[in-house]
Amino acid sequence: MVVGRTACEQMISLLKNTLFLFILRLLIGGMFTAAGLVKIDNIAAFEQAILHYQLSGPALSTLIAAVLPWLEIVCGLCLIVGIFPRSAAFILTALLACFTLAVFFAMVRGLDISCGCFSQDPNTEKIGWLKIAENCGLLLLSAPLLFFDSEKYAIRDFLRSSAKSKKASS
Amino acid sequence: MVKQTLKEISILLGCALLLSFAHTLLSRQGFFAPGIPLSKKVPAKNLELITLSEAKDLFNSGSVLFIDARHEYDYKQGAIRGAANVPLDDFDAHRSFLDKIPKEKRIVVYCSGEQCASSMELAAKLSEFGFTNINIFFGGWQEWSSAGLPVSK
Repeated sequence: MVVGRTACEQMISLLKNTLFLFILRLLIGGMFTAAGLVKIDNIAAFEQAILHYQLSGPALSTLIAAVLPWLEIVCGLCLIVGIFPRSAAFILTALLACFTLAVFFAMVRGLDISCGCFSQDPNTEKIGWLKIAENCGLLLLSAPLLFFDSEKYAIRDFLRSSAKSKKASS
Repeated sequence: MVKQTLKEISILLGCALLLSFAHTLLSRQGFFAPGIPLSKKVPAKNLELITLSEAKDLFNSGSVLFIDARHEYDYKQGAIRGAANVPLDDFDAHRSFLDKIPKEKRIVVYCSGEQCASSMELAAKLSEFGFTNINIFFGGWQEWSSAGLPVSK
């Protein structure tokens, strides 16, 4: 019982660890930023990938294809530099949950389509259980960013400390 | 805490919306893509728009070549039975195929449906290529497949 509690406490202290949270921020933020950059390169191809899921009409697909990549980039960069990290993580986690559901529903309906996540080539990155497992893993990794304060190693800290050192030197 | 989070989320969403608006406007993509609304499309002189029933009659006559302007992937998922695939983005790769078709042959070009402009653009290219008898079926794949007409998969 005591051993179990200690292991649990150790796990929580790891999840609260500022360096661990910083690495998570870099990982999740970097991944979404890269995914967004790939998509803005060819919005028409991304729109086509969304239409293949058969969950939205042409107008909604056009809107999603235009906004989603920028949402990924803005939130990804904010997470990396530590601006509104919890809110950025919240948006990215919500997006991940939506992507996972979309992939699941497409699989249930027997659609043989590309995920459209990191490549706009319709013949690569096919959806499947591997993609769902990958998304679930990312959801688990992003969870600590929602529950614990991850504002250490943020650009705000860096600016504050450089301002302090300037004051001290003057 | 919740109020602060909502405020931050609104800021992030606002930034993304602004950036996407600016990006699509400057790069002429998404809602600002050069496609003109269907009602305002004016086809070239030798291009004629046809309806589903006209397309069906032409299909039944058996003397018409249907050309699918969509991406190869979409074509493989399903197309009008007997249609050839000449993706708009890959027109040059299909020049040798088009060379074998008599220029006076009646051709019906289509794409996904009313929201796409590829059929119009491909028809214009075919016209430039020398074809003289081109029809555009704007209802496209969506209208054809919804009507339960013959398809190939």
